[in-house]
Amino acid sequence: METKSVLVVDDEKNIRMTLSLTLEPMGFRIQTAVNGEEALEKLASNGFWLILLDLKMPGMDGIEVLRQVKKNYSKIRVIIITAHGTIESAVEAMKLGAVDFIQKPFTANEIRELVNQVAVRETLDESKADDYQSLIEICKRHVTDGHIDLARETAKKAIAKDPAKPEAYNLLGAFIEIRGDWLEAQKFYRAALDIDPSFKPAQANLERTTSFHKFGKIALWPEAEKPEAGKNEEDKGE
Amino acid sequence: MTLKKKMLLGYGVVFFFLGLVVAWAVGNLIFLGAATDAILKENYRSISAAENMVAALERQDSAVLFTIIGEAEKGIALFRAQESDFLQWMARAKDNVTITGEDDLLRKIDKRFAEYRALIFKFTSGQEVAVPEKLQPKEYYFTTLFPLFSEIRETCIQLRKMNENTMYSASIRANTIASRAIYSTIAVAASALVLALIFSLALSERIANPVKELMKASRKIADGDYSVQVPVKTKDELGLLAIEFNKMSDQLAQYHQMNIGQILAEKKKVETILATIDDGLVVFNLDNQITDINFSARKMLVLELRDCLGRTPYEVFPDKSLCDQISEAIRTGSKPDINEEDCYITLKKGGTVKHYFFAISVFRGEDGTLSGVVLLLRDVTRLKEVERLKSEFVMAASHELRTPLTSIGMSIDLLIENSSQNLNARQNELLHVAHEEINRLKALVGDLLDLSKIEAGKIDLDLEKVAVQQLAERVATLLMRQIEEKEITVEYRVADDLPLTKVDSNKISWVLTNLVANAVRLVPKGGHVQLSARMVGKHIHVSVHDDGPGIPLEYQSKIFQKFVQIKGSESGGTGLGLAICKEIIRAHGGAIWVESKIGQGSTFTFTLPVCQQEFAYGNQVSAGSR
Repeated sequence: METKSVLVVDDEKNIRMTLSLTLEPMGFRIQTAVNGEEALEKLASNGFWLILLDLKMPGMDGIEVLRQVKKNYSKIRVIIITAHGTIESAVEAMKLGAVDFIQKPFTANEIRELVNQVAVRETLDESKADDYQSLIEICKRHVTDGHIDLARETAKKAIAKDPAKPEAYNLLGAFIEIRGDWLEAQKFYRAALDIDPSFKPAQANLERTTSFHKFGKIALWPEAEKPEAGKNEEDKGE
Repeated sequence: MTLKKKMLLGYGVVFFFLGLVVAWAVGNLIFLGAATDAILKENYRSISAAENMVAALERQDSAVLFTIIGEAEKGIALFRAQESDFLQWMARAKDNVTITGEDDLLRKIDKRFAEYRALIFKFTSGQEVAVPEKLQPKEYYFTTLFPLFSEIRETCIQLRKMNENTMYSASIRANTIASRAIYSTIAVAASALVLALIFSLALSERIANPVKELMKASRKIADGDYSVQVPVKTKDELGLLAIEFNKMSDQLAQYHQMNIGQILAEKKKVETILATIDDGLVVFNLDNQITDINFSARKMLVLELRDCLGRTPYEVFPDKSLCDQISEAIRTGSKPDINEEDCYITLKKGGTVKHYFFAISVFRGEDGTLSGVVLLLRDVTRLKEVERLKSEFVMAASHELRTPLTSIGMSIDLLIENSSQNLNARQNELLHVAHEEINRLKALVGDLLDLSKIEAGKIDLDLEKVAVQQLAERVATLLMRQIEEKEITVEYRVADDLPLTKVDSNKISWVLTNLVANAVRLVPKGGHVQLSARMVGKHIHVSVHDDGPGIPLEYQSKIFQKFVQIKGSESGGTGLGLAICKEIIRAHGGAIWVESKIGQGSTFTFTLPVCQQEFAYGNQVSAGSR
């Protein structure tokens, strides 16, 4: 496998360092940028496969960087790092094709798993994809590529494949929300929660769409395990 | 003069009249006695003397006759004896001369008897000489002796009669005296009686009058007229009593004045307090009308005094449930039974929204009957603001903690991955300690965020109709792995006929999961957990029971507070789970509590609203939270 380059954009020195050290063993070439401007400079001179992008930075913020990236380097994958449960520009990010979010605090394994997912997603063949998880990943790839309609169709396929899993419902809800139909979107979030009440992304989405402030990100999959599910975290084992 | 002396005087007068009457009667008696005595002395002796004189004379005459018939010696002896008798009685009669004429008669008798005696003497002693030859003794007797004898006897009888007549007239006089005494005594006694009566009446009147005055005055005081004064007319005990009485009424008047003053001062004090305190106070009468409202309350309601008095709460307060509670308190006469968390209302004042804590209390009159209801309103806007700021701060702090937590967490992860072979066992242990604590910190930050979000009122309930069975099943599937691992028996006792609940199913699931997870964590391997749901009154009670170690009594009331964990128990939790449970249940208008005994496990119970009830919980919550 050719050596892929990853750009870590975060204003926090320690996050940059730990992320670099975490991903290096996976065989990536890591570069870091301390803010949006530096990130764009580095993007101009180097080819990257993946960007780990902190949304909240002084100066040019993550969303602006994302916008530039999608405009100029549409093939580059982006993982959004957030420190907030709800982000006002999440819908914006989603529209821009950012489908992978990870919420602080996350563990080394979690970020690796996510990066791995993104990598595996690339190699999936839609025509051959047959299992639920692959369909979900392909669906996310469509989002990344800006094909929301395709993503929606794939999500429906995934639901048809296994109606007893929450992710696909949640994704579908998110796509519908992007289209602006909140009420319809809520139905799918609820459907996801009916299957698994502790499914955090759907919870967050539902909360956001029903809440007074119609802000917040669209959560697409479970990010770092939430404390209530902390027991699971322990059980999961490292 | 004292009352005692007066009464003694009264008796004295009566005694005096009594004495007078007695003296009069005694005098009369003495007079009467003297009259009778006089009769005895003056006449009775003379009569008996005359009587005896006649008898003696007749015996002498008989003696003469003895002599004539030849028994001269016997005749002379008899004569001598009777002669001395006669003389003796005549001497007595002479001693008792009381009537005019008596003396003359006695002298005549004396003279004639002397003649008679001389003749007799001549006749007996000098018989041969004295008796003339020519005359026979018999003839001599009839011609000389007998007439003389008869004359003396007649005179004696005359003496007796004279005395008898005198005695009779004396007796008549005594009678007159006696009857006069009776009448006069009666007259004196009657007049004494009348005088005594008049005097007694006058005296009793004098004594009774002041008493009557006192009585009238007391009655006036009893009626509340403290200005009454009793006239002091006498210097006796009653006069003194009147003086004391007047003093007493003066003092009573003073006390009365003082009491009214005190009451007025008290009233002013209360009014001032009510006017100056920041809490709003509204008093309602039994007709559900405002009778009193202090300045602060008017300010809160932006109302003028005249716009409030006589109004019902529904006309003044925009919050209907508060008005209902006031009416309920008036109806039942007892404090409404509501959770302290529900005692908040929001009032708009101009453009700003103010939050108020309210408390309803009833007050009763002296006889225990309900008098009215007092509503207290306390402005807690600032408190709420502080609470909000606190929650926001906690939220912000938690957010800020996330980035360093990520770095530390990843650093430790990497160390464990790469360097553990270079460390000895103890160093590795330390590394794992750090790893564990990081996880705990992460959990804590997450819980804190959730809790502060809920506390800041950002909890939005997505209410839907759910069956309790459905909630229970979700929990079962979620915790299946832990339950199986610990070989725990979970028993479901959810009644089949339970009505649907209207809740945010995710949040209630979260609560239920949390409770069951706690139970699963606490029970020993192979233990029992029971999940039950039943209808109690208007609510569904959902209980999670375990046969774990139980919760000490001192923790039972605190266990729903933040960061309260039972000492000595290895919980591994954040100490926030139950606090979040409580907030969620509260947002649903329910309650959560625990019953537990050491060694016998614990039962957590919470209430859920029933769907059929048309309570708009959604409205309530959103109104209360923003």
